[in-house]
Amino acid sequence: MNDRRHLLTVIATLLFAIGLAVVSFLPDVSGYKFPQMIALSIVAIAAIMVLLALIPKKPLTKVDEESIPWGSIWPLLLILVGFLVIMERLGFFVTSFIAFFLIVMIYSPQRLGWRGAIKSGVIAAIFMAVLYLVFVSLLSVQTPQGLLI
Amino acid sequence: MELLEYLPQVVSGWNLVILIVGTVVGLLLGATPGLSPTMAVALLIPFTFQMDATSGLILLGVLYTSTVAGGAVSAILVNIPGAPANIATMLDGHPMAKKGRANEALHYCFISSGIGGVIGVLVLIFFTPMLVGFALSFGPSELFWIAILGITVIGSLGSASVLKGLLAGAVGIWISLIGFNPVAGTERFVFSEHLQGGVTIIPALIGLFAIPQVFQMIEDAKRGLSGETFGMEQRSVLTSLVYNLSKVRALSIGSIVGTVVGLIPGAGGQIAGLIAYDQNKKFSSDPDAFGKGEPEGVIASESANNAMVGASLVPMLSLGIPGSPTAAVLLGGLLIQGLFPGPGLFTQHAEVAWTFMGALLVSQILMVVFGLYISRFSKYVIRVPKYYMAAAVTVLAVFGTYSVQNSVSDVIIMMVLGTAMYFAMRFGFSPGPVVLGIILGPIAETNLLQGQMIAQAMDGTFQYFFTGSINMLLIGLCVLSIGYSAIAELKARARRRQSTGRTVEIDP
Amino acid sequence: MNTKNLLQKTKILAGTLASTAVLISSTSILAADDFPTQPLNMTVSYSAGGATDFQARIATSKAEQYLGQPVVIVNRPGAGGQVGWNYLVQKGGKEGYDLAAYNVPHFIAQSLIYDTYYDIDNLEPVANWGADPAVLIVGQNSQFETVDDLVDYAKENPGKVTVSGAGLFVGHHIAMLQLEAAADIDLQYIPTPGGVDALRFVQGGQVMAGFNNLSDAYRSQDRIKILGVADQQRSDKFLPDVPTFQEVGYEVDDSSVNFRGVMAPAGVPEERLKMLSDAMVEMFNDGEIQTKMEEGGSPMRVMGREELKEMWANRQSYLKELFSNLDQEELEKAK
Repeated sequence: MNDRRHLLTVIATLLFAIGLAVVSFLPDVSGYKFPQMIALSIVAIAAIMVLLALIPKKPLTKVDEESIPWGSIWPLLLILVGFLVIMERLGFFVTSFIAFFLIVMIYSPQRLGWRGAIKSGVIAAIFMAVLYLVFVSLLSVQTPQGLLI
Repeated sequence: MELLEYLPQVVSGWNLVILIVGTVVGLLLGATPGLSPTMAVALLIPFTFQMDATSGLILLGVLYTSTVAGGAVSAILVNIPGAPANIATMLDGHPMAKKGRANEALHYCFISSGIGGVIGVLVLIFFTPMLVGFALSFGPSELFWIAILGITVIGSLGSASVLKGLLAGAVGIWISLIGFNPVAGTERFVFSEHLQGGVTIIPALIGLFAIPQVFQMIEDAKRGLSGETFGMEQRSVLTSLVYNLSKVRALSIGSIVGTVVGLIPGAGGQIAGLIAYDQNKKFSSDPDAFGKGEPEGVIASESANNAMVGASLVPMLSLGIPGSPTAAVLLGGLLIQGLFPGPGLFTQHAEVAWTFMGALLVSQILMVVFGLYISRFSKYVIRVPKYYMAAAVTVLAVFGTYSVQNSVSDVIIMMVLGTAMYFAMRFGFSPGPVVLGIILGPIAETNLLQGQMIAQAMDGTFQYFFTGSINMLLIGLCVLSIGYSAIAELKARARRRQSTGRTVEIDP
Repeated sequence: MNTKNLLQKTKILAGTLASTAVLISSTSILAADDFPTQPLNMTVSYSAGGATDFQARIATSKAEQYLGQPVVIVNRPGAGGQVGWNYLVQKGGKEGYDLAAYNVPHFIAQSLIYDTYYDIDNLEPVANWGADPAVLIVGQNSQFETVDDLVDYAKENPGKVTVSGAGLFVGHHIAMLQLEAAADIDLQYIPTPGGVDALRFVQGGQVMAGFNNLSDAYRSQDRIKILGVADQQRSDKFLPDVPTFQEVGYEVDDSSVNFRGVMAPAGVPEERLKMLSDAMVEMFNDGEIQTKMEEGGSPMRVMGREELKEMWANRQSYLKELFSNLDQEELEKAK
């Protein structure tokens, strides 16, 4: 099972490497020599890995792939995507507050009732406030601004 | 001696306040995952306007020192390096923490930083005139070989498979080539507008290290492991001090490598820690212990990246040529005050120059003191539940990335790289080589291209790159490095073959 | 997990905070007559600590006194300046609060050669503070003592004289191209990512000569030899002993001078531009600012909006001609 996963991984890597090589060789202008060299090296290394994986019964490369716990991570993925999309519309601090709050609410192991939610909200707000005071007010750091802060 | 003459001024009144405040602020900023040292120094330049030249410089110098050291705290405790210089620290620092030796790791980190830092500043104070010529003798061909040397180190980092490490490093190099190149004069691989500025080091560092950690943290939280991952043990500073001082080889390698790398302009001081770590591992009697919690790894890496601080100021103060990106910011700070580097700085503005260097020396000691003190509070940090930590790191990652270049594109790149890295890590790749590739790629390519152009006008490419004493020395080091990695890998395979049949991985 | 409940709670809490945030961030930008009522944002398209950056910081340090509001510098480096300038025309507000520091000929050259969002038509000049001519430098131990020495050597060794400069199609490159044309010689240009690297190669002897900024050369003058300055007249304040190229017989004019100043995106009302321009001209003429710039070795030439419009137009046509003459041959060689 693990060997199969390993084989799939190295084959996928080889395909990715070939993709990079194609992209590097497509443009017809000069200035692409270096990326081409690098892309070819990547293909070479990936090819070696595939060969080694195909030789049966000899575990010459470490087999160290793990499975992806999709069930746990999809909310975080959504939050990250959402962050990028919303940040420029609502402004950095509001978006961060929402993201912070959501991450805490979704990933805390116990069910948080009203009290838990308010506590999380307050902590999130304090965190944002400290960031704002120290960096925006005091140090004049710029943050993405949207409709709100 | 002028240094002693100005020393009382360093520790008096306003300057002392700046020293202390600067050290503490720098340590805290550096220890916060997502905030980078270069950004911290750049942020405080406007403040130095209000102060006089000496105080302003002291503040910037102190920040430079302490943020680099502070970055190791985040590397050890949360597995997120505060700066590229701390990547090597993380390789052994975090495993130490997981084994319950976090305090010990922190002690070694600060003590070694202090020792390395002092050595770097002493070099700055006493040997600047002699080293100027050395610093200037590194041209495109020499720098190219240094980049290659860095690349050969990539394969032997960490305990992951060498092939995967090399592949990750090569992918990192390829990624670094995206964007506009001033020497080649073209834009490459700019598939989306956001890529026009290319993939720069800090967003990549934050993305590749912080984001996978966030995923890891929420996974742990979901599994109910959100409490303390490891305990903070009781450890006397004195014991750590004695042990640390006994590790002469690690300290020497660290300090020497750090000083040399810092001296060379254009080598990107960030790789000092990595090269020191690697060299130390090669000379050690038990290379396999590295990556699993070997204190020497932390000692070599931290002494190197603080020695680099003082050394990078040698070309900066004498020639106006910064030896690292943060030194470049410091240079700007100098110029705004109307001072410029050169012999004139030491004669006409002797007070400023010597007070500054004296302050750097004192700041090393302060950094050790406050660093050790602040480490005591880290036990509260690791008690923070994982889901809060994940939320905080996410916000800080976005914030820290944006504040480098005020670019939303950087944030997008950071998230994309980070998420991709998380998946890649599941398949056995690690982020260290990728970041190294991103740092070294531009250095390798720019110097290769420039070298070729110069070689055309001189005696030809081969002559240019393969002759000259420094070139030969560097090429020799590269060959040794590759040879060593090859031998190590063969030995490891032989050992694996000796054990019974297949290696079985247990699904977590 | 009770999703509906969670959603409700999130909405309520977010709503409360959102409304608070609206209250905090609602400041009217469009107050017509009292311009400016808020700090001005100035994008510097290079990293903190660089020449443009520190000059911009010095030049605008007294903005509160002359403009009524401070100028906040925001660094947006990347792609040789393109990232920051693209940002200005794409995201810059048209009320006059978003400005940028420009480098002539950089941005004009880039708009002609590369695919940028900006060009001389969607940008408005406000005021100019600095004029940094290109100078020809060689190492301290170099065999060249005068421009003629270098030219003679180059004539005997075409393509063998390496000359560094801070990138392609910047002032340094243009100066080199002009010298090549004026003296009928063939030099090998070595572009570097920044001015510091170009200078370092000359000092270290890795290249035989270089074109660099007068300001940087001035600060390093005890470690290099400065052979000539590409300008209409000598720099009396900084390098009184260095001849101009024209004085020694080579037709190299001041087209390569690196002008630095402030610009705004097109669309900002003319009265505001005029107000900013007049105020900034006064500010740049302030005694303290001039002294600080001089101490940093940065030559100044203060110009107002009308004069600038002319200068920009001149540069634009000059560069257009230059690039069309070079066309394929030089561009390919440069790459």
